[in-house]
Order: sequence, then structure tokens, then C-alpha cells
Amino acid sequence: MWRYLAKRLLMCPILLWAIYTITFLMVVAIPGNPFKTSERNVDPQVQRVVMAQYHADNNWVFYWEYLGGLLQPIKAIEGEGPLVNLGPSWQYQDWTCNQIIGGSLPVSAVLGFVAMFLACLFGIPIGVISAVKRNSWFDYTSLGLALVGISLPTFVTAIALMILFSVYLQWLPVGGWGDISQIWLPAVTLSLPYMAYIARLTRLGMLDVMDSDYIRTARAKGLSEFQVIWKHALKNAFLPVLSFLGPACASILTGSFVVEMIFNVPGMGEHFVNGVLNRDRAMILGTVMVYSTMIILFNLIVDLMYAAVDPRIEVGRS
Amino acid sequence: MSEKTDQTDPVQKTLRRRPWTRFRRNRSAMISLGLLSLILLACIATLPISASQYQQQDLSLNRQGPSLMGTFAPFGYDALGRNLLWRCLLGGLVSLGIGLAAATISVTIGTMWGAIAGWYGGRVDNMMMRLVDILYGLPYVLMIILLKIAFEPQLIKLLAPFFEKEAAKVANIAILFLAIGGVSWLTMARVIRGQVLSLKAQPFIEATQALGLPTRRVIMRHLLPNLLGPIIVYTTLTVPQAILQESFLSFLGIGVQAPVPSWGALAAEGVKSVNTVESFWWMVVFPCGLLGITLLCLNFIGDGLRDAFDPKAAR
Repeated sequence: MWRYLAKRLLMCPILLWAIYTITFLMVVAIPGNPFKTSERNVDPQVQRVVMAQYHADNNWVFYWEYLGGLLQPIKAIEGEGPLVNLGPSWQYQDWTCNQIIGGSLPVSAVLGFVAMFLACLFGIPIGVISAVKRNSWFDYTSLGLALVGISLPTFVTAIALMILFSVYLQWLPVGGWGDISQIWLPAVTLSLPYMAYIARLTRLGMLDVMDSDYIRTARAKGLSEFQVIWKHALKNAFLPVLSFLGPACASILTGSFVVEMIFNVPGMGEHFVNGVLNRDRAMILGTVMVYSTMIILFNLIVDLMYAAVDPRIEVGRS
Repeated sequence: MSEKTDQTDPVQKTLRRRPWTRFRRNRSAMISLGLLSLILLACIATLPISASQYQQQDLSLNRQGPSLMGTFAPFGYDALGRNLLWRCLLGGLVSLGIGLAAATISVTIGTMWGAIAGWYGGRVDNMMMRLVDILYGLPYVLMIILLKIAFEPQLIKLLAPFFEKEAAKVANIAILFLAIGGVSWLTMARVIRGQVLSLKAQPFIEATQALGLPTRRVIMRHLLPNLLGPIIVYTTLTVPQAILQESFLSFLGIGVQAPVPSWGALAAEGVKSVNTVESFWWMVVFPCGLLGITLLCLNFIGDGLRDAFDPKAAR
């Protein structure tokens, strides 16, 4: 177990390095950079100096400089800089990526956490009930609703919810960030597709599990139906949901561009998209590294939780 | 020779047909199939009209609501006074085309990738699946945008001699096909690899080895037919996802380029014109409705197919 964990943890930097390199190659392939704009007439001399300062003139130097900045424990201990330095933003030249991402990631994380909590809170029970009452009206209704949740683009559900709750009912504010009441609409919008997925995966898992021998044993022992379903069956039926939750958590916590834009939430989602659109190389690499670190970490946690949920699975042996 | 026996042997025949029989019993899936065919047929049948009408604008008609009297505009007009009916019909073709193209690409690459990784195992498997892991680690939005920005100008140049004025439009749609398809094969590869691994352990594959059949034949005749179920299921689930991704890109303004419509682009346009003073509901409801219904149908069909191909679902 510990050996496996050590091996997986050692793999993380290698995976991250590969992701960094691939992203870097793709970014280099995109023509253009924010320093050469046609809007302002900059003295070529000045332009050269500015570009040299950002290492924008030499891809090779930039690659190693940025890679070195990603983890700099010695500098951090000596107090010369942060542990992870994502470099100065190319587009917003008064800011560093650390400041921008550090300011927006918590917002997205809070929103994502609430959304994920809502998705699990409703998705799992809906999935369980529709599996237990298979082919009932509840099953069909929840399946239909789940499919609607998956089938509509987020920008449509966002606007629909906004019109309903903010314009007609006037229960909740239209957007913004900073007040508790402002979190509900974006969180619900964000949670709907995830809720739908979780409900469907739970239902499938439950259908598989409910026929197995150990459930019959549990019933034969005289356990109440409630205990059989919610304690014994759900535990194993949860495995497929768990493997979905890993990457889902990573992407929901790092923000959704559409939802954040519509509800005017100052989250991280916009930086993913604007970084690319602005050719802001430091920002692209910074957001990708944050995102992929989360993905890798969550996948690791999920693998470890697998073993915790299902004792038959021995971690490290597949 | 063996194909001939398949057709004459009644047992074989029923076995082959069983998924289809089961699928036909699934009412929601059959209704969805009918509805989807209807939408597709409508889009294709009206192509000559919609292709000539979709960019006809009459500014005096801008944001006119749906009307059946006088001018035929059951879906109303958009902000530039273009008839939304024709735009929705042509947009449907673009959206469905993107879905299908992405699915084709993801099936081809994903199946090959997963099958090779699963079949050869060991180091090959390790390398190939690690690459999939790495690509999974990249946010797909970023990959699509990067692919689009990096390759679109080149493709326009490449296509310029063949399509002349239309080169930009063709290149734009082609790159969308490639970009969305290029990121959607990862799940397919994982699923297929898992299937191949479990099939490989089964006696009938061992038997083909004992018989000394060439690898090509084993893969084509024995492995692929058994993979057909998951492939079909995941294809029907890839199509709606690709369509949704396109709508998302259109919302960002990097999807299909105006004036070419797609459901996603039309919905995004409609959503942006919604305001509290006057709701131009038809600009949102019709494209979103069509998009939603189509994706709903595809998901129902996918579910139906999964049940049909799942041996456990026979109960």
C-alpha cells in the first residue's frame, strides 16, 4: 500500500512535466503574442527589450525558466519568492499569474464545492431510489430530467434559471459575487449536468449490485431494507460514481467559463479561455498546470478511496 | 465461407438479431429514433431552400416574432432580420454533421488505440495509456482552441485553390470537426482497451491463438465483432457531447463562423439578445428546443442500445 502510494506520488511530477511540455509545444505552435499589437506603435527597440524581459524572444530559455519556477523550494525557504511561481502574465502586464490565479481560484473552488455538494446531495438519492423502484414513474421522471440536464447547454439553463428566479420571482440576485445569496443560481446551474450524471451512474451501479449474493445475505440476516440499500448496496454501487467524481471535481473546482461569465463571478474559468485567446503564454501554462495538478491529485485520491470503499480491491494490484 | 453459415444458421441469426429485437421493445428509444430521423430528414430535405435563404436579411423585419400569415416565418426573425426557420434547418445540418464527424474520428482513433494497447499489453499498453492520461490532464477547451488557432490559417491556405471564396468557411468547419473529434476519442480508447483486456482472457481468443490464426484475422473476425456493442453505445453518446461542445465554442465566439449557423451558434445569439424589457423568446426557444430534443433523442437511443447490448439486461 505505502509502496504503491510512493510510486504513484513519484509518477506525478513526471506526468506534470509531460503535460507541461506538450502544452508548451502547442502554445509555441500558435502564431502571435500580446507584445506585437497593431493598436499601439511601439518602438521596435522597446519591444525587443520588453520581449526579452518576458523571455518571449527565446522559446528555449522560456521553457527552462518557467519549468524552474514551477517548483522552487530553495527560493521559497530563503524567502526570495513563492514556492510555485507561475510567472508574470503576458497580457496583464502589471500582474503575475500567481496573483491572478490566486485571486480567482478560491472563488471558483467555493462555487465548485457548493455545486458538487448539491450534485451529490440530490444525485445519489435520486439514483438509488430510481434503481430500487425500477420502471416506476419516479424512475422514468428522474431519468427524463437527468437527460434534460445533460442535453441542454449550460448557457441556456443559466439564462432560464436567471429569468425565472431573478426576473420573475425576484428571489435571488442576477449575478455578482460576495454575498451568500449570490452563490445559489450559479451553483445550481453548474451542478445540474453533474447531478444528472451522478444520478445515472448511481442507478446503473445499484442495479448491478442489488442482485448480488451479499445483498441477499444481508436481507437474510434480517437487516431492515433501509440498511440493506443505503448502507450495504450503496457502498459498492458507489464505485463507478467515485471514478467519475475524480476528474469532475478537478474541472468543477477550477471553474466554468460560461457560468462564471453569465453570473458575473470573478472565477478562474475566464482565464483558461482568455489566456488562449490573448496568446498569454504564462497564463495558459499556469492554468493548465493548476488544472492538471488537481486532476492528478483527485485521481490519486479516488484510487485510494476505492480501496477504502471496497475492501476486496487491493491497491497496487490490478 | 463462415459468413454464409451465419446467414443460414437460424441460431446464429437470432443471436445476431437479439440486440435489435431488444432495442425495438424499448419504447422511448424507438420514439427517439423516429423523432431524430424526422429532424434529420427535415434538415436534409430543405437544404436547397435553406442554403439559399439562410443569409437573406431584411432589416425591416428584425426581431419580428413568429408568424404564419403573410410571410412564412413560424420561427420568427433574428436580430438581422433573417428568417430563423431556414437558419435553424441549416444549423441542424451543421450541428449534426459536427456530431457525426466527431463520432467518426473518435471511433476510428479510439477503437484502434484501445484495441492495440489492450491487445499488445505490457510496455506498449503502458506507453499508450499514459499518453491518454496526459491528454486527459489537459483541459479540453484549451486543446480545442489551441488546435483551432494553430491549424486553421494553414488549412485555409491549403483549401484555397479548391474552394476559392468558400475556403474560409470550409476550413472553419473542417477544423471544428477535427478539433472536437480529436479530443473525444480518449474515453473510447479507455473503454475499448478494458474490453479487449477482458476478451483476451477468454477461451475463444486463446483458441484462435492455438489454431495459429494471423493477428489481423483474430482482430478483424473475432475481436472487433465482440467490441461492436460498446463501440455503438459510446458513439451515440459521443455525438451529443460533440454537439454540446460546439455550442459552447459558438458561445465563446470561436465555433462556426458567421453567417454559417449551427444550433449552438443560434442559441448563443438568442441568449445574448435576451433582456428584461422585451423577451425575444423565439430566438432562444426554437434553436434550443431543437438542440435539446436532438440531444435527448440521442441520449435515449444510446441508453436503449446500452441496454440492448448488455447481456445482463436480458432479465
